[in-house]
Amino acid sequence: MGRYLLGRLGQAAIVVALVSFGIFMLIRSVPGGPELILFPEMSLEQARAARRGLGLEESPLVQYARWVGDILRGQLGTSYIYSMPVTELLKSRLGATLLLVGTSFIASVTLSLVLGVGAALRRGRLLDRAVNVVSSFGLAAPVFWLGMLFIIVFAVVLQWLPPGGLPSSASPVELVRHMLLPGLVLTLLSFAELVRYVRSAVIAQLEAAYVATANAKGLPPITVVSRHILRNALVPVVTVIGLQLRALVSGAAITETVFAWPGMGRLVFDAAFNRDYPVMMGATLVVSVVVVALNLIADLSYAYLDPRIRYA
Amino acid sequence: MSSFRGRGLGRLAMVLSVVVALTVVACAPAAPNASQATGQPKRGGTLNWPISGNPIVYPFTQTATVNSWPVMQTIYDVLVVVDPVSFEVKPSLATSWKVLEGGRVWEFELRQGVKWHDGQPFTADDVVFTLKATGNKDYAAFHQLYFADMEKAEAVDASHVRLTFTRPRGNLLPILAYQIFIAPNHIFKNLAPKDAATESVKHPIGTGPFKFSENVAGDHYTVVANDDYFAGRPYLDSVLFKVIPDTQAQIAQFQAGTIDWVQPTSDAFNALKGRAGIQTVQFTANLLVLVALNNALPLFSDARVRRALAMALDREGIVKSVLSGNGRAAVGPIIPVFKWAYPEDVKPLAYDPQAARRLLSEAGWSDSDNDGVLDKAGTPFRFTMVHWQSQYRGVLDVAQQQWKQVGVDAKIEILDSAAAIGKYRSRQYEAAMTWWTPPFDPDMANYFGTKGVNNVYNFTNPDDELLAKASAIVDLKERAALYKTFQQNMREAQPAVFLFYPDDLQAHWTRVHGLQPESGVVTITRGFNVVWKE
Repeated sequence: MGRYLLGRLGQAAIVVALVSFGIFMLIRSVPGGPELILFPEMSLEQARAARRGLGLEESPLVQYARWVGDILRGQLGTSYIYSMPVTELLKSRLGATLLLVGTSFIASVTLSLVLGVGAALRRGRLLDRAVNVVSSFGLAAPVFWLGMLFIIVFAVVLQWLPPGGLPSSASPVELVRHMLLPGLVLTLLSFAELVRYVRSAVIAQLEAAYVATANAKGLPPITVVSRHILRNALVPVVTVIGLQLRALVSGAAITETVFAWPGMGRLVFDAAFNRDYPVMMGATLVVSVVVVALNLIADLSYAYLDPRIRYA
Repeated sequence: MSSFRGRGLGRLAMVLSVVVALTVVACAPAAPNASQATGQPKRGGTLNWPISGNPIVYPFTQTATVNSWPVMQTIYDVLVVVDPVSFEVKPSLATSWKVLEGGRVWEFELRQGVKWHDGQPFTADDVVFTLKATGNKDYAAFHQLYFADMEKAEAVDASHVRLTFTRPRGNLLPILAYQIFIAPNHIFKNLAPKDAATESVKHPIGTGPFKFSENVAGDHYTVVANDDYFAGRPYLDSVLFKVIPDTQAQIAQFQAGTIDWVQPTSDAFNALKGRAGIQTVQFTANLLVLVALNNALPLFSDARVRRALAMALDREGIVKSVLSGNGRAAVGPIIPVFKWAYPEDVKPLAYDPQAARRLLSEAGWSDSDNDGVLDKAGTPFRFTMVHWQSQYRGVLDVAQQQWKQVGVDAKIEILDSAAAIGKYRSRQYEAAMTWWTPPFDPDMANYFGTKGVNNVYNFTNPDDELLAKASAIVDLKERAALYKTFQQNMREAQPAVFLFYPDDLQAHWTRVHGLQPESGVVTITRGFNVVWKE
């Protein structure tokens, strides 16, 4: 296991390096540099001078090497748009995103497991149909539209919940109230797909011979499901859960914009539009490290779920 | 095993929810605490104001000005202010001024007893530093171009400043009123220009009616009342600028009552009109929407061709359909908001496709191969218009169709805003739909002058001398006569297709009093010291 882990960590470092290099080159090839956004009232000559001052006239490879050097010294640069250190900006936004995405992730996985298993065991009946309706709705509805619908219904008409942003006070109750609507959107986004995988995976296991044996032995249904079916069904589902996390992170950008939630998704969204290269690269680095780490955890969990899987 | 008939139920659910959504939007009630009461101003409370992005609160910023300036106007002061209705120039940090040598030298007497938020006294040194820095390329100030010809800025004594220019500057006062925020010399003199922005944004110090309190980047920016403000402590205790990037989200938050003011879209504005507790305001904005044409290209070098493109467009129809009637067809770059300079008797080019075809024919364009597209010496009349996904996106489709009817093939290229602006600003474009807001003065030399740094049209302007003369004159009537000639000439020359002047649409809850919406969405926050809430 130790060798496997070391190997995977090495692979993770290579993946992060490749991703950062690819994103670095890609964003510099997109037309429209930051100097034209930052200095709209300058002459072209002055804008070009500003571009030189930002170090953007050097070759992309030289710029990338300089950026890697800064990373190794623990510096992510200064945001062009915010005039703040990128590390400070990311720190200020990461918490909000982790809170929203993390809570939605836990909620969607829990609901998917409970309702997916329930739907599989009660195929064709009311629970199964209800899960399908909600799942279809979540898959079909655009994130932006869903967010606006929730704001209009719950914040404007019913006035049960605030329409967006962080609470002005430190009250946990207020924090939960402010998180409910964006959290609901993200949870639905993830649940819609995941519950179908859980349902299908459980149905596939229901037909297996070991389930018939377990039932024939007189085991209670709850034991058959929790101790036998679920562990086998979860192996493919864990892969999807890992993919869901990536989708949540990208879905969060739109949700954060609709609900004015000051998270990393929105930060990167704004940075991309304004060609704020230091922020784009800093956020890319953080997100790629997080996603690679979570995928590693997902891979390691296979060994726990299925004793037949062992890592050398 | 039952069949899986979920898809039908899923579709039904979707249809039902759309119906519900449309119904609730129509039935949205007024927010609580909407008040009709007027009377004596009340002290206290927080005004919740939306901005669409993070502000950079730095006096010389060029970046994100539409988000930054509304905040800066509460923290900083300017030397003079311009009344948004009468355009009369009024004192602010400067109490009086003298025009000498025909406008080449200006002397200002400064207000006594004004303090910076850190308690230091405001003096002539602050004004001298600010204007020198504004003209200094190292600070990359928004108005650097307007002070490039300033020869000298000197403190005559602690309360008098003298400015000397290389040429007469008749339009100096409106420029000074337009976001030339006076910066504290005692703070900035110790900072190198390249570090000034990064240090300043941490804790901005101004002389304005409100002081910096808190900046939660990306969420909100809070300012609190300045008890020592020279015009008296504001009625409000604080202003909370909420960062809400999406316009629809702003409208929803306004309806929910969590913000006090909004700039809605045309459709939302029409829906908000007449709602209890909401005051809507509509007037011609300080904005011009146009299709920029790259005059350096052979396609657009002939004024007859450019005029034909303008006459082939039903701009009144575009205003009615795309803007829901909230705007007016444009004549030229002098905008109606400059009432003293806008010549009402100079009308827009009429919508006349026949006349457009005649002009194009005179310019040598004909459909020699009967493919529906005009051509000349083997070159078809075909070009690409760039733009981004804005609220005026629909105008491009209409323009494309109407130009097709006169044999012009216009392709639409939608890019993200940075790429589109990049192409446009670097003159790497054929045509581009865009808009701009001039400062408080109709001086167009920087934008439409032949050597204007922002002449992205590559337009050779025969009125360069006229523009230089107009900007040197102090008397508004004399300037207005020259600008009338300029407007007429620009209407004929059409370096860009001047589309329309959209209306400024605003809505606020009637519990908020004292707002001056006519100031425009960027400058309205300047008057927050007299705003109060129920």
